[in-house]
Amino acid sequence: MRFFQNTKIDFMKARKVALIISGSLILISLISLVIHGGPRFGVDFRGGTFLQIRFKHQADSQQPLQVPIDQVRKVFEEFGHGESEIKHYGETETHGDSALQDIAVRLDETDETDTLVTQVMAQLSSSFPDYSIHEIRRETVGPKIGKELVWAAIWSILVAMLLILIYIMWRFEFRFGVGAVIALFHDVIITLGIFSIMNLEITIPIVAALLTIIGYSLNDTIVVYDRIRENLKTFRRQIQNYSGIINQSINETLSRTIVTSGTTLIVVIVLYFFGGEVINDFAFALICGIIIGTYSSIYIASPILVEWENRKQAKVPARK
Amino acid sequence: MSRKIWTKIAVVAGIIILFAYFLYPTIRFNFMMNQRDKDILKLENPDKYESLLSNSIKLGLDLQGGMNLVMEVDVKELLDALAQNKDERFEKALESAAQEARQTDISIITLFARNLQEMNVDLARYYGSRTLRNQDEILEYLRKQRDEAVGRSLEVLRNRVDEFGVAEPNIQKQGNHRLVVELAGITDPERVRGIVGKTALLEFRLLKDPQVIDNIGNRINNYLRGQSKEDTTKITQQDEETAPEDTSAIQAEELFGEREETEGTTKDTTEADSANLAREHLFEENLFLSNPNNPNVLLIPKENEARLRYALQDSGVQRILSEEVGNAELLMGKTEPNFPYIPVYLANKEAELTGETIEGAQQQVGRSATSIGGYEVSLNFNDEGAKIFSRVTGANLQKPLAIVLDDKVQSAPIIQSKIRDGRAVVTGLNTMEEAKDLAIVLRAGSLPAPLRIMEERTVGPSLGKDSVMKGTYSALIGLVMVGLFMMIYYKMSGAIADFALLLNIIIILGTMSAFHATLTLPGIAGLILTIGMAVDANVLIFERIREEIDKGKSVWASIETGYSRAFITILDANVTTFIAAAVLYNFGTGPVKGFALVLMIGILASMLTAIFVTRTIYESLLSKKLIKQISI
Repeated sequence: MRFFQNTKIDFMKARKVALIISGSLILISLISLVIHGGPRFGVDFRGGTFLQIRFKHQADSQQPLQVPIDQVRKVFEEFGHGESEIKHYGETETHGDSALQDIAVRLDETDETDTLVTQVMAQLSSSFPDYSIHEIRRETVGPKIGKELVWAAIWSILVAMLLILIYIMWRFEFRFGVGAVIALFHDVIITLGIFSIMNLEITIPIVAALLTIIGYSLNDTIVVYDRIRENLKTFRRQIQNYSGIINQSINETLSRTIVTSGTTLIVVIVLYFFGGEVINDFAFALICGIIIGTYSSIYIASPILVEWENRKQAKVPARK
Repeated sequence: MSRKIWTKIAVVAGIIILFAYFLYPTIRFNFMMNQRDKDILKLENPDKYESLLSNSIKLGLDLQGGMNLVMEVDVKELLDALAQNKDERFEKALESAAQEARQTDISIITLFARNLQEMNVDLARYYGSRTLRNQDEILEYLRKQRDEAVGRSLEVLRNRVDEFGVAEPNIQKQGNHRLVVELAGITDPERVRGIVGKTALLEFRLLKDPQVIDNIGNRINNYLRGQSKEDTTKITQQDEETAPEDTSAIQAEELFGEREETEGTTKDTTEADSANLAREHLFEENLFLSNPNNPNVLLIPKENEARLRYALQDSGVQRILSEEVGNAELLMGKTEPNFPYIPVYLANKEAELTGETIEGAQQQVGRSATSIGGYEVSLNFNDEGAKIFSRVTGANLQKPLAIVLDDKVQSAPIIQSKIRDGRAVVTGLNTMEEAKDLAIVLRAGSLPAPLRIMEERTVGPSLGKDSVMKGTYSALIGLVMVGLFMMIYYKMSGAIADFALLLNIIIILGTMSAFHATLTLPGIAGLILTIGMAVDANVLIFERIREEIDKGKSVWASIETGYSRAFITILDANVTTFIAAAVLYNFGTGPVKGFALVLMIGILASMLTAIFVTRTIYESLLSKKLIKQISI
């Protein structure tokens, strides 16, 4: 079976359109980030406490399956934390004859988190006598550690990009490195933008996902670049047309690009649907990243080489 | 078939066998043994149990449930405790420094000094002495005190580790000022938070006479050995009736690695069975042994630690204790790495005096006539302490006085003479290290430096189980879908790639077993991601081979060219991904590190399988003339 045999799509012809699309996506992302005052940091980076509380009750009882958030909030209000973010976390699940519903709560940083949570849990148990209620996950990060983690995350992304730039410049040419890194910024900014627009939190796993996207998108870019490098060598004298070579290279690797992106997307989508709530946002970031990364290796990383060549040609007057 | 190909096949087989061998303990431990088997093995053959456990993949705290705490010493309390002549300005400067230090990286000591300077108050006013006159000296002194407090907290925590009641607790210093505590399978996080935040309690307690100790040891030994199965059940029931709410009591389940879920699910019969079974195995021989060198202490072989803890909670044992010596209790002592016994002391419940009365303690090389060549610790008490100490030492000459930190005996020196001036020396310590540890412990009682939790990640065991289940489920679905796709798209070659994919997973998990790496939830995600990405190398090769076949080349030549051309691409593409993963590994905290690790091993494994293993399969199939055409 073969999906893409001897395709001859003129990708470079559409590069202006792609540029406009990417440009507007980046602009929208940046606007959203500015409006929201930067990325929406989770507890890891902002400090505070994340609680996952499990409500469990017998499925045959008369209670509705959805734990009423309002009532839960009322309990937090009693202790002066009614403004905390409280929401359902994951789907209602049934195990045997009992049903589970998790609630996620984000508390701002306080001195007395410990006593607060103990009191709230006791109050919840008495407010919801039909449920058995347990705290099953708690993540508390002090503001100081949160700040350190923000810097560590930013540094790690920049260091990764720098090292990659150096490697590509060594193995290819300078312009390839620039093209690849611009494509990476493109991917990371748009992924951050999607998170900002969808109001999702940036947590440590999301940073891990961003770094994976960098690695993955690069993998894609390098495969195309590698073919360009090979074809540039082979056709040095036959083709004057730089963008022709690049088009040919993308077409030759198109089948591989689609198959690999496809298999990776399959597993990440499976992870998104079956991996559980904890891993959900992480999988979502990867889905966005893989799609954007595949697109950017074709429409961002490669056109940059063409533009670079065109500028160079324009600068150096034709010698004859 | 040529010899060369046989060699290659042998290497491939070798790789499979090697990594399967690494992986075997994990599979055996997690899938072939139930809790009962594990309990039996743990009691009957602890060495084998340990080796099986340590050779399987460790599950991260997010998968097996547990607590990860990052703590800092509360320097504010320390500054407060060290100061004299405190006034309103002091309180104000300290309070605002503490507020600011929580938000910034600047140390509270620096901020505090700056605040005072702004108020035109001299640091020497609060911390000055004959040896500490100017600002710089005092700052240096305070910083040194802070660093020491960190070391002290580390000692105190290590001493308390047993109270957490978990297997393989991990306590480490992180950087200069932080302590990291990792506790797996915690059932009561609230209790742990209480324990780590507690100020250390140092006491001096008198021990009972050797004859009493000997008698108690014998009675308990006889009682424990005489217990039949029926007796045990009776006593257990009594246990539950008399002290059902006692959370500090160590339950048999904790001892034998079983954990009640926080959700309070009822224990099933196998668990109850294995607890009974565990009890039957418990006391076949004497628990307490007497120490020929020191009649003040009983010894218990280290491998019997679980039995000892169980016995100390046993109501029958407690009854014997209250009958014989109402005012005393059995306390465990500090264990030494090269001494195979746990010392147990019979100490008065009432302390003679507490660590708050100690003004200082210092390790030194032995000076007195009896301790030349050894090491010792000198300590001095404040006036009140000196008075009590003088009375206690005078009344108990030639008797041991135990130094007890948080209910654990650190040392039990014999009182040699009446000490009137509050300046005592503990002699007869074997190494400088031992002396230093004791000095740290002695200072711990007097300088409060409670630990504050800066970061906490706690996952309940049920949530961990959920994650493992969902992760495994996703991995299997992903694997089947990718596998089917490859077989449909590349036919037989796809099947070869699928084989390589399975081998990849075995290599990744096998490597993690061999290096005792920890598998975390993001690690499972990494594994699933690797399933998708690992086929890439094969896809690159297959596409290349197809191109070559299209050009009309022979099967052999196509494979040859396909592999060699694709190799460069695979290398470049994987090196860059590897860089990103390595940076992530460096940046990451616990769980994320697990993800990066899986990614890195996965990249290496997929290169190995794609470049070497699948090629060997092709070559052997073709050379044996099993196939003439490859289906791709």
